[in-house]
Amino acid sequence: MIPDQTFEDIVYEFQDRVYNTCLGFLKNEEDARDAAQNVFIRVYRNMEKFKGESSLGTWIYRIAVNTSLEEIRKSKRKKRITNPMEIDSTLENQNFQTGYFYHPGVELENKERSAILFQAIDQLPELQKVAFTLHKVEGLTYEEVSKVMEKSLSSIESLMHRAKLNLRSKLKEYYEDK
Amino acid sequence: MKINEEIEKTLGSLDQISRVNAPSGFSEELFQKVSFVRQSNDVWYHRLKYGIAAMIVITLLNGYILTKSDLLYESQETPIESLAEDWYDGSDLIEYNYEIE
Repeated sequence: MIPDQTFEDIVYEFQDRVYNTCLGFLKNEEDARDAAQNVFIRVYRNMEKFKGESSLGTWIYRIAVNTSLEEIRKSKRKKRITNPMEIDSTLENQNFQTGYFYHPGVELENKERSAILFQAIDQLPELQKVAFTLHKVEGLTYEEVSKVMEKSLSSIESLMHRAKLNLRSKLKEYYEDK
Repeated sequence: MKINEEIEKTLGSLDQISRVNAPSGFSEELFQKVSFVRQSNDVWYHRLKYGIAAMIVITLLNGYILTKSDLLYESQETPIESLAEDWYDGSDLIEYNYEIE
């Protein structure tokens, strides 16, 4: 149960964080808006089930991550059905051909570089992607990330280390091909 | 060397990122959706309530009809039983007690 907080209070307190998290994963403002609203509808439906084992923020972040990942999987499935050749080629080559995403929270001078980085993040394995996005885009500490992902602090450190290694190698490929 | 510099700069491009606010009208749109969810939950609750009530009435009616028909059968003689009674009144049909001439 959530003590002394109405659903409206929760929305006003967490809407920016939820939207920003969804945007970090989905890289599309319209999709992020829809996903963030779905997150709060889930929160509304499950408010009675919230046992307070984690903080409310952690619980909501967890829902936001899961909802975003489901949306990504759904859109990949959709693409696979509508255009199997296209998705096959992107999966095989793991290249940088998909559209650029310019995050509105990035400073102008870093827009281009961050768009390249977002494309590289997209190609990371799911857990590395989640840890990296929560830490770098949403600004959570490793400890907060570990609570959201229900993993130990050391596994988050390891995930982040591997994510950075992978990103370096993908960026190296990109800059060498350029 | 230059590539490594580029990589490091790109990796650091999210260091100064700031959190984006939810778009305007986000909460209003959300509250509308939630009120719709709330209404549809109520509709389902009412449908379920009426459905269960109807099932209970039908079950009771069924039970009543079954017990009623059992009582009817118990009170009625079946035609075959009455037929047997008509034809067999307790005496032997064939007369065995005759004298041999």
